[in-house]
Amino acid sequence: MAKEAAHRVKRKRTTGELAFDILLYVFFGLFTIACIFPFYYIFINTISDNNLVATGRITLIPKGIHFENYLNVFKLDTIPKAAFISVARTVIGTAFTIIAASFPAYAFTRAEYWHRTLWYRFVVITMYFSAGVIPTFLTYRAIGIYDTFWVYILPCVVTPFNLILCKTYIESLPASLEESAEIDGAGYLVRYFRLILPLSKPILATIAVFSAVGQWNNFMDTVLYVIDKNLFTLQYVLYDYLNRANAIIEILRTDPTAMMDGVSQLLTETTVKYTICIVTVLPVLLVYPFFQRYFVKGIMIGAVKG
Amino acid sequence: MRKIKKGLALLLCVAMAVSCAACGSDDGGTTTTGGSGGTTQGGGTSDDGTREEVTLTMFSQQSVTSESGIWQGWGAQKLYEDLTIKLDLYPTGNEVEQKLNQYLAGGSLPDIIGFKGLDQAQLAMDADMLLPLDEYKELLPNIFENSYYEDAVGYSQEYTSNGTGHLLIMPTAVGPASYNAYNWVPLLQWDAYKKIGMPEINTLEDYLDVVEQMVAVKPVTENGEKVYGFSLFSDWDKYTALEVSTLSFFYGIDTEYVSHLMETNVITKETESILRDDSFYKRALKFYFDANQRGLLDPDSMTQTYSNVDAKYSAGRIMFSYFSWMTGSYNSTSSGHVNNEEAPDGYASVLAKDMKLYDAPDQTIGRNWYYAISKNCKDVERACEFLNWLYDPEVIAYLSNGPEDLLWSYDENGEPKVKDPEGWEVIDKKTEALMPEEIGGGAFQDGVYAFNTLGISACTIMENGYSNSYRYWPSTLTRNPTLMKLEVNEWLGADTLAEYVIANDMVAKSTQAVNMITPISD
Amino acid sequence: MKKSTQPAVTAKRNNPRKKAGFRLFLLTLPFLIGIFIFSYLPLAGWSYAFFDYKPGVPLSESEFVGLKWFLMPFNNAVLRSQFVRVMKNTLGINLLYMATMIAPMFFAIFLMEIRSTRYRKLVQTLTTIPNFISWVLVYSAFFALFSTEGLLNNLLINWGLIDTPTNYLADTSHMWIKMLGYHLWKGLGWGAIVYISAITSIDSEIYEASEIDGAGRFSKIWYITIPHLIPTFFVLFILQIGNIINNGIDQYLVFSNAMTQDYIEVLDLYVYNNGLKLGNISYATAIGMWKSVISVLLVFSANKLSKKVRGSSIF
Repeated sequence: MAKEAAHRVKRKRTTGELAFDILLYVFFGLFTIACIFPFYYIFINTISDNNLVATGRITLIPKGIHFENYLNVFKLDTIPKAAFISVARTVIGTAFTIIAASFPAYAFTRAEYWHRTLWYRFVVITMYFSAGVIPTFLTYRAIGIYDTFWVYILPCVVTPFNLILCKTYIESLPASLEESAEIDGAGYLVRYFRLILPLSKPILATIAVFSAVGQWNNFMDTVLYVIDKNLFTLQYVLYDYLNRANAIIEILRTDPTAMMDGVSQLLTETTVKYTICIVTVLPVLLVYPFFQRYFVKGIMIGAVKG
Repeated sequence: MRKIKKGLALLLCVAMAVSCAACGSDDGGTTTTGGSGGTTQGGGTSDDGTREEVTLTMFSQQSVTSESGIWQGWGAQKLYEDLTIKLDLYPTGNEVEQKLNQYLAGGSLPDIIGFKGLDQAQLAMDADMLLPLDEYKELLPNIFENSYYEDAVGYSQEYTSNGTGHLLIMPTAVGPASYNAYNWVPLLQWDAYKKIGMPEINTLEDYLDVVEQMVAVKPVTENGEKVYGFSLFSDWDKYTALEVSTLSFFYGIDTEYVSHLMETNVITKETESILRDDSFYKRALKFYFDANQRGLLDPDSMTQTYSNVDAKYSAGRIMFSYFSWMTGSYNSTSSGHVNNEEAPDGYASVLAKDMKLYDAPDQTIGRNWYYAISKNCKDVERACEFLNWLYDPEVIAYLSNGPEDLLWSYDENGEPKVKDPEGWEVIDKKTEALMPEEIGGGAFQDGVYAFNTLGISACTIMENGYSNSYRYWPSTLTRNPTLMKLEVNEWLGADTLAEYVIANDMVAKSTQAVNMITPISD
Repeated sequence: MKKSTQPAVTAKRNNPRKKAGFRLFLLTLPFLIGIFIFSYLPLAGWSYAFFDYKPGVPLSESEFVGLKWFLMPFNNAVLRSQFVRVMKNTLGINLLYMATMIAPMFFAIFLMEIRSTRYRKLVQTLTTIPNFISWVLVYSAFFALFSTEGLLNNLLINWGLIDTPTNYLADTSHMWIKMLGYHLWKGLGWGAIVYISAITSIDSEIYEASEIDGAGRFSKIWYITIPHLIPTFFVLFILQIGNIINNGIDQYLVFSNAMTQDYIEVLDLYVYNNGLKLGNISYATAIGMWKSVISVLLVFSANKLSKKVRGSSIF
């Protein structure tokens, strides 16, 4: 069956495959355009004349290009420190997550693990419940990570989802590799660091992307668990900047008589919101291709042959 | 080759991140020591040398600022000079209810708490976490021995003390309401209204005809954007469509403070359901329904947000407005409409003959935003000192207007006036750091911004016979009338809208009973 | 997993092996303690659901109300009909999502079929963009495109395809399908990352060998790539079954308006509107417990089923 099908395809390569290739290029091209268009739209609105933007007249091409919006956002004096905290939590958090996802994942692939099914389930079902914000706050306070840098790192170190991905991946590796190492008398840690970790690069790169983006984008933990302004992250500062207008509107809504004058000036302009969006997304887009490099082929071959 | 380039780019990225990190950590180091507040570098500045510097923590939910950390600027310097107290502000603005719940659950309320509503304060009172201020009367003379606050203190002790009879929460903005600023006023675009001959408007439904004609004379803006008669937005809807029910305030009917589902006529004092057959709500719904039938209603009304609508007002794309402040930036002088010599334009108050504008009640018991001291405050004495300072009318005047002779001064008749132009320059740019360094620097708004409302209302008359805030001084009210305003005033035959509606008996003065309604408990 | 039964038997007989297993457990103990502290310890807060809890008031002084909050959605006819509508939306939308869960896998497969590396990487990077933009901003961009005066209406009118503009965002037809569309638009490129990494890890020797056997492009996809990706897909699918009553809030919050509300109010949004906004912690906790219990039951049943049908479970 298989061979027949294969032959059929092979014979048609010139016309059929060419058509298929074109189809692929066109489909992915269109989808990509659909994905970036809103982003592009947001971007051209940040660099176009603000008056034109306010009246919604920027649609396809930027007009009256200027970069004042960006200068204004970078003038916020809290930005450099917040950027540092953001980078720190992203780097440290991601490093922790990679270790915490891959080592237990490896351990759970070993049948001799003490009550394996029980412990594995113990970890996995935490995906499906959460205790609510107040108990979480009380816990963080009790163990002393409330209002410290560690509140960004420790709670999301062991992510069951990443662990499962990792475990599935490690199980798909040829068992023979580990067996030969086991016969050589290598211990668990040696096998993990020498063998499993290097072999898991593609999945670890994936987890790193998930974790880094999650760390970079998270601001809710700052809102709820941080008071010290030296620990504010970039996302929080920008979110707060966005939301100041919402807070004003919220106050207006609860009591319109509370503020009389100049509501319009207090509102964050749409252009500023858009600028903030670009500022927070751009670093991710610049770093992401770097991770992509690790989704490379041939790691397995190297390991087996070498 | 390409790979090398990529590698280089990457290296640059990393280098940038590292250098950024380096400067960031330096910053962090210095500010942490400076901001910890534990150091008493200010001990020497006080007169007797015995006053120790204290840092009080404060969570002021009614404030929209989330600039946390030590309170800065000229107001903070005044506080430090007066009391050697520093204020450490908790971030607010976002998720404040959630944070309050956390602080309560953890038994860790900050020293000073501001509540933006009785329901929030009720939580803290239920948890018995507020200090009974009446037990510290001698420390709080400005609150307990001041005639401004007498009713407010009494009422709060009686009705909002969770039955304890203590003063647990102290209201703000006690005093007369802003007598000249009606919140709910029908506004029309002046130029278009003039062009159709300023037809008489007898009742609400007449606006439909008028607005239809106005749209006919101005179907598009100068930029060619379509003009609508009416526009609504959905993000404020709670139980009812807010912008629909809100029209009731033109007729002295309260649909917000007593209940969202009830209409309380403040003239007849009758309260009825909004679902009654002849309810005002249904009339207002019909009004917008008709507007839609005539093609006057913005088709995006259902899906747009407040900021979309604000932008449309700014562009002059909507003929009718129902909040006195909802004009976008169309009425600001910089947008070039109100002082246009050929055709002064802007949103002007054009009332129907039968309207009775809802006038917010005098708040002798204050508005329901409160300040309180936490029971677990470590230095109750100093916290009381601070609260006493915050409710001192002199301090309030200082925070609202800045020091005398800097931005304002008395003229030869003893009337306070903002200095023209240097005073207005600082006030008009209230977000820019223009206050002089010797009094603490910062922006004009830094005085009040961290609190949002202060003890007495802005138009409370002080001992000098003038209002507490510069905003209601006679010279401020008549400052630079715009060309449009002059035309409108001439047409109204009055200098202010207040004068006009009072002269024509078009006011429905509400009583402060609306503040006395306790929230419906669950 | 498949190899698990055999060594497990030996483990019982074999003492050193059992010891090794325990040592392995000890090595992972720090992680397990972490899980316990951050996920299990706070569960003490579930007790709020049985009381009329107000923050700051100790539970000992709160009124015990038993199952009141749990039964609240079922207690009277109005609430019940509301609840039924909300559940219908929740399940309907989530089933649609699950039906399309295979899409990122095919997205990855076909993307890898593109020969130009540069084009492939460009597509791969750019299609993840929507994932990074918050729903609020997505809405504001969509509003600019689809509102009455939006780009789409303008273009259609200019091209003479329509006479009068339509407000697409207020249009309630096919709401679920539209939500699915937004969901896929935002998540397809991002969801494909896992599969792309899995494809890159396939031993290229397998492909080479099959080419020698004369396998064409499609048979390589069918006989090598897809079987290699199915386990990943299957894991994700089973995990998603546990999420069938969880939607999150943001997407539904920004797209809900007076017209669309009835079709897209999902459980999470309902709880947000009724529980959290009103500050009713006990009620929100009770609903959260309902959701947790149902989710865990569902995911374990799915796992059992998979064990029966496919002979392998995922945990």
